Amino acid sequence: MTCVQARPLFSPYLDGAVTGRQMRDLSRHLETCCACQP
Amino acid sequence: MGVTPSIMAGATTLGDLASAIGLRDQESAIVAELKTGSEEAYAWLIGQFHQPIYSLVYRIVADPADAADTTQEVFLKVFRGMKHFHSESSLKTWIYRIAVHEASNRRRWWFRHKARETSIEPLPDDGGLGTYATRDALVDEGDSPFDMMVHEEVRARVEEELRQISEPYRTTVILRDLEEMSYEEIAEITNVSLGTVKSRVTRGREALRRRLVGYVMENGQQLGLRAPRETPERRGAGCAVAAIEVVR
Repeated sequence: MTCVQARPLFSPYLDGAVTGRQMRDLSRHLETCCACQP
Repeated sequence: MGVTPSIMAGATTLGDLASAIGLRDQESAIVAELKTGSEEAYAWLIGQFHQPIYSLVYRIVADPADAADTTQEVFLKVFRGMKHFHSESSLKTWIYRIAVHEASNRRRWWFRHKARETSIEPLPDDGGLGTYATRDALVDEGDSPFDMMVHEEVRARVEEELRQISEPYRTTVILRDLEEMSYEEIAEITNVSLGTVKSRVTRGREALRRRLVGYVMENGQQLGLRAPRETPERRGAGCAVAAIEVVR
């Protein structure tokens, strides 16, 4: 997952409104991407 | 989270990214026009933002009768403040920040000065939610969370209960679930951290859910509803407002 793909998912992720697959991909992305860290 | 230009919030592909960059350029051009005092640009601004800002203000102020005047004040501040707008945030976020600030001030003023007055005006017969025209205008088109509520009575009840939620939770829920703004945008508009936005959304939704449970229990069968689940975290964009589920 790229930053461009990840960023639109931040708010749905916080709402608990992403699919399991999206959550897994986003979690992996957040683990490695400094630019997307809180 | 990293800073994300709100205008890019929907960008999911390179094509979308290019389009988002195009939109950003377009916004810069419009802002430049606004700064020169272009009447056409102001007409565009009003056409673009008047209705959403009115709906937002309407939901925040204590007395719906104040919504039109407050909205006018918002646009006056936008026009006067345009020379001080330096695109640190998106135009939309900046206008919404002014609107939330103005509506919250109006609401505080109302509670200080008007709350104890008894009105001699006849009570509205629609539960205080305005005329049909207003209500129609308040209904979001497209994928609004309210789409999940097929029954007007239910929608009106949710609006009514939402008005009872205390601040700052109410405004935060309105921005997230009705205006569908991102957590980052809400953090910018309300000038708090992302964590605070998250906490306010969760608490606001839970407060709304609690207020609606009794109503659903009482009227659920008749209205074709089923009770909301206990957990405040729900799937779907309109989590809080969809504290009631319409049985399909």
